[in-house]
Amino acid sequence: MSTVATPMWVDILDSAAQACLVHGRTDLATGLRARRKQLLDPALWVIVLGEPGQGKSQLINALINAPVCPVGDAGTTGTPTVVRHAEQPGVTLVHRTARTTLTVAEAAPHIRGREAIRAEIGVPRALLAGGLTLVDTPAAVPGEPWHARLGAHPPADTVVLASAATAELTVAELDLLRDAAATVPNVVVALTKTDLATDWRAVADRNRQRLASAGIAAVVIPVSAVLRLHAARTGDAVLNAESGFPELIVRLNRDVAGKPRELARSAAAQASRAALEQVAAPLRARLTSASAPSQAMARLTEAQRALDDVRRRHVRWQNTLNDDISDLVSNIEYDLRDRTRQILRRVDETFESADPMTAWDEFAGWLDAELKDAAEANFGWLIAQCEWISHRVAAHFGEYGPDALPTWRMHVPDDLDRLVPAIEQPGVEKFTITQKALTGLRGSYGGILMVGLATSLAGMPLINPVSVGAGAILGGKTVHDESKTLLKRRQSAARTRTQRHVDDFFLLVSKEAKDTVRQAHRLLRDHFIDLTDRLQDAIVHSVRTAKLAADADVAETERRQREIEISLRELAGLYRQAQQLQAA
Amino acid sequence: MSLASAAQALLDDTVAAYPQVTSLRHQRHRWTEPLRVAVAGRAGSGKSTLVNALVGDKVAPIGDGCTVWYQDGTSPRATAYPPDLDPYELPLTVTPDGPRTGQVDGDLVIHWPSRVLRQMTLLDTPSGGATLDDADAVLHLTPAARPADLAPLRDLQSSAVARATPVATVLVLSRADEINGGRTDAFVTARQIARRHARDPAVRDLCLRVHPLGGLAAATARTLTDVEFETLAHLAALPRTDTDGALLSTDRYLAAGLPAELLHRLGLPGVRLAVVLARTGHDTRLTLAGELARRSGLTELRDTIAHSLVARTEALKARATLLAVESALDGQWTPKTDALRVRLGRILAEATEFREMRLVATLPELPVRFPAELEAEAHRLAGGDGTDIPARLGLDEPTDAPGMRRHCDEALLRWQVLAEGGVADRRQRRAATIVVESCAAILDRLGV
Repeated sequence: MSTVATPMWVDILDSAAQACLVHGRTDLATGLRARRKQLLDPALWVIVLGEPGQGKSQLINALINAPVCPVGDAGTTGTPTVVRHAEQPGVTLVHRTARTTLTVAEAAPHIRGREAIRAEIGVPRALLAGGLTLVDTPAAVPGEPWHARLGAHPPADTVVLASAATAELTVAELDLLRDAAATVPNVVVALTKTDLATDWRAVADRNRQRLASAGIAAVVIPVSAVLRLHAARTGDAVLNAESGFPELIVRLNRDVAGKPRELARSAAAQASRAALEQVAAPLRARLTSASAPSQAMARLTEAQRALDDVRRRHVRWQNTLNDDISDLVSNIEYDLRDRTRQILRRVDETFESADPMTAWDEFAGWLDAELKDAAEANFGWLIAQCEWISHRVAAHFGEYGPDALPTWRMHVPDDLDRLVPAIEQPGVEKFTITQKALTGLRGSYGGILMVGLATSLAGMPLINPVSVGAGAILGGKTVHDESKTLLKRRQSAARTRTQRHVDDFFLLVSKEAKDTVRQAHRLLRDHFIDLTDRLQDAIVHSVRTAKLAADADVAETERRQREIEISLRELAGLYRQAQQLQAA
Repeated sequence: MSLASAAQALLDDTVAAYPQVTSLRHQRHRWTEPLRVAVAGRAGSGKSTLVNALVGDKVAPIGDGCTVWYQDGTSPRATAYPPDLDPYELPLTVTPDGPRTGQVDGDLVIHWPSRVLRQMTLLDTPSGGATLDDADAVLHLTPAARPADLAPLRDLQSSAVARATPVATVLVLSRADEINGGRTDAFVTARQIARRHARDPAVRDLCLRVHPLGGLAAATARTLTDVEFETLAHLAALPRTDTDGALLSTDRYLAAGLPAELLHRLGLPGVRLAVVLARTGHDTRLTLAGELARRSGLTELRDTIAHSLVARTEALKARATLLAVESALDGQWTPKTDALRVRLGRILAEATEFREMRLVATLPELPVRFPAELEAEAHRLAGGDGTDIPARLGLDEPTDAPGMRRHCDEALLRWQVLAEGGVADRRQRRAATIVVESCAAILDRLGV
């Protein structure tokens, strides 16, 4: 445009097209450019739409009062036909590659056919001289967009839907109107064939109601092509007024005159708004989808959950270990005590009868072996328990599997022998020959004296065979009693000695066992603390990286959202401008 | 075995194999009833007007959103068939605008004394599109025959049996009077359009025939009163310039002080036509009504219903039965299904009736037509004038069996020659083959 001042609507249309381009909608931008070009064109493009047999072509013929569009005999229009002003009547058929010029009569079969892209009819009519351009279209097909046969961005300032007054608007017609009204600022329903319909006024009223409830801003103009053509033939002005066409013509002329101003303005506003709406819709959708939790955020939550889990597990495995170890200590002590008590019981039994003096060596060997066995069994059990405990604690680290177990293994110490000291023989009072003789003499002395005194009364000497015999018997008995007493004393000494020995043994071994348990406890604790630390380190690390990623993500989302918001604000600004343009 | 008995036997065996399918059991009762003809179409396509035109009385519309059954009866009576409930009698008031009844939920059956309803039951279906399983034949009304308008007809052919026998649907192009701006030649143009559609393969395979109909003129032609005739005769007597002005538009008609009732009854095109007819010698009520009925397309439509549908009641009942059997077989497989399906296929292949119906309908539409005599003979032999043997053979006087056999033998020979190369056109040969089949079927019935 090289004119002095471009109208404001051109600027807004250009800005909207620019916005479409920025957001990658070249299709919309192309549409807006086509619209701009068309709005700057002073000609008013009126598209006549409708279902078959509603009198579309007849409407155009009656408007310009010339039979240029083929009608009747169900001759449906097959080719879009542009009717505009020309000094000389003529038809140009536009094909994909060629244009042919025909007379109006010759063109009729071509217009009924579908081979040409469009037909352009020029007629010398004052009505069209102002730039009014009428477009006759093939019958609408339900479900197709209104401009299906007119190309992607057909020039259109006003859409006239022809609908016979013999029936109300159908759903398909309302859909067609709604579709057209979305892109074309002026929509008119021409209620045709009012001459035939008995109650066209009621139909018109009902149609107006249906349009209002469907939210379509379209005027309903009842017309009768038959009356108009008849009026033209007979020059009957009253009939012409009855035909309803004057109202339609007034409206179209007003649009022609207003095209560079109001119409162009509202059309530009409407087109810009429709395009901006389409650009904004996906942005808005992205804005809402951006606020949804991202993958990085999900990872962070997961890592934090794992960290909490490890902490909880730390407490739990320590409790398990401590409880199990204290149980073990008491169990081990009881076990050892039980074993030694059994040994002692057998020692007691042994020394009921055996004489330590003769059987000591054999006994010492047996005791030594028994005690060693007990210590070994006790330690073996201890080690098995320790392993079991380590398994139980390791079970808290399920995901580590067998790796959670300590790699070292405990063994029964080889030097258990060292713990069992050799037992010393108790000091034994021996019953020597001299002692026996002295003891025998002491015993026999009393016997000789007692019996000798008694027999001396009988007149026998103090020393006589009877008293000597009694002395011998008593002496023998004393010796025997004495040796028995000594044996008893020896046995008791041996028992005491053994008792003391076993106590020593118990003390030593239980100390050793407790030490071993404590050592195992420490080792296990260190091992699992180490494991927990490693686990925690790994998780803390992953939490840290996840947090970094999430932070970055949030920042990125916010940046994107800000961008979208800015874009949307810009679009909204443009949209408001377009709205103001329409309101102005 | 005839088509009817074969279909009934198949139905009995299918009912035995599918005892749970209730619709199959209903099929048995249908054989004892008159032909059920449904009138279908979009809202405002003129269904009720056609029902009135066929019954010859103002009986429709009645009921809202439900299927209304018009059956023969001794006195006007209405019965409601609500779903899941027992049927009950409804009060029916007969007004000049037709019978009126209360609101019903479900189907409504109107018993109405009418000669037409003795031969067929009419079903006025709701615009929303009811299932047409209950009907033996369908009159489908549509203002235009665009692909979108034909969609319901294609839906009717969703099953294999229906596709193989497209003989139960008649396409009625309603609102024929509005063509050409409602001029008096509208009906002529409408007939040409209907003929063009009938030749169109896309339409031809969907229906038996295509008929134009000016619904208002047709309905009023059947019930034209003396008063209305007087008015029309009075109009016809006026100078042409006066009437032309008054008949230019409905507004002018009313402004001229002419009776609004007549306009509503006939429509402006109907009034125009009636006036022209009254001027051109149809000067009694009967002749005028008869000519109106003829011009409006009603006469032809009634002929088609009488000769192609009612006369073929048995074949159409058999078709409905086969459709029901097919739907049951498709619904569920049982060990007997395959054997039943084979029998269904055999019945379809052996039934000459459906091919004859197609032939009778398409004879005048053949691209290359037979000479008039042959065409008439083919029409007759294929049962176009009646399906009993004398009617098929065109015998006016009673003839004994050998005589009929001789007649049939001659015809068979003649058509065999045509079928085996006597005519060049492919579709003519195909038609001749069907006539040969018909002759063979006649000889079969005569007992050779």
